[in-house]
Amino acid sequence: MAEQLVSPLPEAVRRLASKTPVATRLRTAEWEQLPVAVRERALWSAGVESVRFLVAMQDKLGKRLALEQEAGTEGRTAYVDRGSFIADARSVAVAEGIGTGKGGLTDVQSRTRLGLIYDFQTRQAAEFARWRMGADPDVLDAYPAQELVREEEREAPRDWAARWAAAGGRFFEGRMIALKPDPIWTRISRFGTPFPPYDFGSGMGIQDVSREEAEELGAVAPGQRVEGPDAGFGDRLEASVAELPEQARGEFKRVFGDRVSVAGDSLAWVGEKGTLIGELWDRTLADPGVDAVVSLGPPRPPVLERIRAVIGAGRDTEGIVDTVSSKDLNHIRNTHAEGRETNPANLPMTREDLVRIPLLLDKPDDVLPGNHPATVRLVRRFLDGTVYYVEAYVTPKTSWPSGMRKAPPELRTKNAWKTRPEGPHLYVRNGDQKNRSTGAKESQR
Amino acid sequence: MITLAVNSERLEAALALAARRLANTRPLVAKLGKTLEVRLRAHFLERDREGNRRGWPRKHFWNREVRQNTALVAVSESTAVVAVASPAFAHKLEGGTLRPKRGRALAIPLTAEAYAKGSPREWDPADRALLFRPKGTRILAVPKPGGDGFEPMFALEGAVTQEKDPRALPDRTAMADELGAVAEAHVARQVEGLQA
Repeated sequence: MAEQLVSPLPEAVRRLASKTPVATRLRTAEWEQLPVAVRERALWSAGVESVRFLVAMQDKLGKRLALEQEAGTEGRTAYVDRGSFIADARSVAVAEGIGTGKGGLTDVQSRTRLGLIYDFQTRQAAEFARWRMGADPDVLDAYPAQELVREEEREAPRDWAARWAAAGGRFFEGRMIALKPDPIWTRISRFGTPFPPYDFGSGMGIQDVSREEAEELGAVAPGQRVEGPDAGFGDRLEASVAELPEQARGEFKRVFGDRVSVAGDSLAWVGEKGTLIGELWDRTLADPGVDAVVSLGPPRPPVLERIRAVIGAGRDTEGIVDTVSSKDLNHIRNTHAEGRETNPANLPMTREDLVRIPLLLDKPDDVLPGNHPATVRLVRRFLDGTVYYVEAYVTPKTSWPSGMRKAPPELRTKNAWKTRPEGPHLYVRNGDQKNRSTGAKESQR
Repeated sequence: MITLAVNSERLEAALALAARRLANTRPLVAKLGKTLEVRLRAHFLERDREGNRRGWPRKHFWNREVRQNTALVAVSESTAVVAVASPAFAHKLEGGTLRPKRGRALAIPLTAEAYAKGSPREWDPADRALLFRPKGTRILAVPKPGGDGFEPMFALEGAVTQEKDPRALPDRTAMADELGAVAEAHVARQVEGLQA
């Protein structure tokens, strides 16, 4: 029946292995400005520009999590532990010429710093594994809530109750308890993740709360079905990178490719959809005659709802998918690229701009009527003030030649452009008078 | 890899009943697995709060090395697996003889300072440079302030035998009975729900 094993936590192993070493001189405060999606996929250490060090660190931590043994002396083998991690990582740091050897948290050769890396990375990986399993529907139903508890005493403990309250947390008989999918968990976290650690050096952790106890406390209604937590941690996907050095911008592009878009002073996480558009753009550039369409998957339900509200009931949107075609990318390039854009209110569109089209499709600020029937205009203002527009057409369902099946409708991107941050009246929000949105219409090519 | 089945007559009976009465046993198995994880983690936290026997600075072995690496990792219709991803815990559980794996001797701390700083390989280079082995001894020491004599920091041993820790796990029969009670309550609730 239920059993316990001394064995690895597979999700913890996978999580660490999925990270990519990112070597930049960014300090922790600068990393914290970046989207969680970027930080979660990156293995980094503040101020460390040595890829070799980060790779060695990942290798050692990976062995620790996987409980793999490595070669010791005289033909013996040994598990990686905190001590051997510190000793071996320090050797690499010395060989790479990083760190000062003076000790302390800012010295990457020091026991304090390397111990912190080991503690943080191994704990975060293990807590992630627990969080993932906690989202299993049967497990979540049995233990739908969790409590923020002090696990270890500290000489100068932070006021977590105040932090909890400030983040909108509720107290149940004085206890800091919330459902597992509650956004409170990411709000109290310095790192934007719903699982511990919630801050550096924190002695806080979580304790599962059973359905019976949660119901008794009123944290969950009797029989209430709890939906699983958001795998994206409710992430903001964009960050201002006005202060980010060129080297760091280049490093992010090198490491993540078109999964990130760095344009103007904003860095946005786009994910695999960005890669699809980047590839299509490159193919189109190499051969303008290429005729291809990429599917970006179905629109998010809340976005589709807004699209339906704009275009009315005349179009069947069942099974609709977001698409981008090579021809439309050509059109965008021919009308809005550098040297082609004639509207002074607009900025020339670049490859980096097009890569972020999925963000407009998935998370627009507004969905407005387009210039033609069955078209919508998706609008998003990025953190540097630039406003992007995508005009998309909802294609009707079409019959296959056999007449037996119908092709799903598409939300086809037909045009895209962006306006200068200082542009007046760039767009109006839903609910405002449509005829006031002159700026948006004028800026369209 | 160490595998420990958690069984008792009560748990076996409750599971047999569940198999007969429930169309889908996965929710029950998931609940039992998670309850086991919760129970183990609570036990490890209690152990952690006992503190260091010698009163030396805390390293929170039971919380950081054991509890934080304990998790439910798999659930099926019939089995839940809770893993403790810690070789050091395995050693506590089974006991045995430790031999040096990365050097010629084990360094056993003799002072609170040595314990807090970890093995000699962990020490920051400036501190480590002070460590030396006095002639004719099997210790590592640092010079006393003022240069008069030395202070032993580590004993160097070829092997160390540790007894198994009988309290590494909670009482397994009690734990299995507790799971049996959880299973009985779950089956009763499900059957009640079907009859309502």
